[in-house]
Amino acid sequence: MRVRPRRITAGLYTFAIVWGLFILVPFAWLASLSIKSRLDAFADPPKLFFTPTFAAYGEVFGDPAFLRAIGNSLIVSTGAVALSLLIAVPAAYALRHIVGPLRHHTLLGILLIRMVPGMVYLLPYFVFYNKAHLMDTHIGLIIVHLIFNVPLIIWMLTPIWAAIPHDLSEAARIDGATPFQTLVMVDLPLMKGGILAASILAFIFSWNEFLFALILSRREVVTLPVAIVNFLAFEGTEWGKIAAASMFIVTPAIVFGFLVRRYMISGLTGGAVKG
Amino acid sequence: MAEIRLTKLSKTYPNGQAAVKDLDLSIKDGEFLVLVGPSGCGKSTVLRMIAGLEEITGGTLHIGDRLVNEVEPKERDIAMVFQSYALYPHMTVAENIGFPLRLSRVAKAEKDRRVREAAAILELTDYLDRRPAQLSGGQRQRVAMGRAIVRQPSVYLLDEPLSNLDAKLRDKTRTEMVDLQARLGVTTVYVTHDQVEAMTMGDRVAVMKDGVLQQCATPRELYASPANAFVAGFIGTPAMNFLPADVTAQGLTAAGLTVALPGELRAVLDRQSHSQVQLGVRPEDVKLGESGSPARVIGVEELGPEAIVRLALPDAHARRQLIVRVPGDTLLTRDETVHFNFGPKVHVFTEDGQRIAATN
Repeated sequence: MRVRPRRITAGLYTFAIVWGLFILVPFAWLASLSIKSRLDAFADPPKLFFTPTFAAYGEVFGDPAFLRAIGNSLIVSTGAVALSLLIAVPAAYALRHIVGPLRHHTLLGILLIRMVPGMVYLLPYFVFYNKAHLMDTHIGLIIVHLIFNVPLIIWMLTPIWAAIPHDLSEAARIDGATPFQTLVMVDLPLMKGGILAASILAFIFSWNEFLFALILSRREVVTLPVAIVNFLAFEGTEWGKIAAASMFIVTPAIVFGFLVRRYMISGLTGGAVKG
Repeated sequence: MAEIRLTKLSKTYPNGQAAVKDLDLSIKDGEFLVLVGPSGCGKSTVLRMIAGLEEITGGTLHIGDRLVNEVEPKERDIAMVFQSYALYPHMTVAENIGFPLRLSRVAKAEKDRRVREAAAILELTDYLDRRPAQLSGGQRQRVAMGRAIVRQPSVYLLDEPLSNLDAKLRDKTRTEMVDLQARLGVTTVYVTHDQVEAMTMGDRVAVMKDGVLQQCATPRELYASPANAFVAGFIGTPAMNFLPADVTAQGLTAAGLTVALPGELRAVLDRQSHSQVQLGVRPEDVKLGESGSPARVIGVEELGPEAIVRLALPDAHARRQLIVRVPGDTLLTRDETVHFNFGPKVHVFTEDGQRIAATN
């Protein structure tokens, strides 16, 4: 291993610290805002020491609209992940068996779908959803989330799948397994870490999604990001509630973030081939 | 139990590249046949065609009396052991061995009994609850064998199953596998690039090169009468010495030595009017002594019971070496000059390597 010059190490640390501050300072500020009283929140200069209050949290979780938004977000995100997996897993399986340029082009096409800004899809979906009575429904939002979740899962699973030795599926074939049995009994158990990681990321994307949720819902299927914006109400902006609700909305990202990190390490194929 | 018959079996890839060309081979019921050859010779492709993993593009394949060209692997009544073992990492040893039975819906009690039986044969009983990652290389190899024997198939296909083991374990496992095969009496096709494995394990050995079968014979026959210079050079360690030889009135002249020709060989050479041939001499058929051609010793490799001596031939421009097998108590040292003779047995090949005959 080459020894890294000290100057480069120092540079990397500096970068990491500055970058970390950019991310952590707003977060810390928001966290402190969520536990400040209204008076403390607007004190100038900002108070570093104050008596924490959880009043904003109480208000947020006492708000039936917000509780409904939590339910909606859970339904839409979970549904979107489930439906995405149902499409993306067989797609990734098929892509594994395609060889040559077709596979490359298909993967690239799938990536392009993900790269197009949501705005592009928004208007056509808006018109179509109105006609198809999908506006303001859970299934409507779930379907639209497939646009970004399916490519994400396909792209995450394809390399993991490629890392599973081909011998295993051939051995299964000799042992008498049908392609479907091979998928269920051999491939999927080996990929569960990867599938979990992809699902979590997809869940977080769906959970955080704002644009489609805002336009394609009205009153019934308001999700959390939209609900927070609704705190910017006529009677004035409720900063404490926004901060408290924001703190809540990031929890899955933080909790799952650690899980993803653990499961991304695909040490699952150990012992399959000579190790 | 089954015989395997390959008739004009061919594999040509869509890009026109031919991996196997018109292979005719018949493997007897209960026979241990070894397919051997350098890498890329098509031996693995043949095995995979027998297994049903590779499509057959020409010729026919019979297992027993059935034509199986288009038959799915699982319907062929075969079991295969992969070079990588291909164990399922998420299953225990018992689950790995029992996987084929689980797929064919064998009742649980029956399945457990057969898994335990296979495990007992392979001395894996204590490891049934372990996962492949917790096993040594040799144990993994045995699990792969277990998965093959538990199905009681009529054919075993083994693709370089020992090449991932270290040398000592390989020797031990080799004898174990031969014993096992003899005990179970199942027709076996074994692919390897290692000619020592081929010679020691096979009832018969099929040597392949560039997709073409060169010779299929018993190990002894392969060694004694190789069909061509390739087989002669491939089988045997150290390899046979090849020398260009002139056909003269006295016999064959090579490296300053004249080998007298028996009457019938003389007749063959004259009939085919060869003036130049290749002389093939096994290292044990070069005799060192007081008379003969002089040569310089350029290396002595001590192997214990025997030693391998490398000689530089005097015709310097040829820069040819002669490998000689001598008893282990030899006193030869580097740079010494010795005299050598050929015989009693030498092989004669045409210049393009086809066998003409051998003396003795």
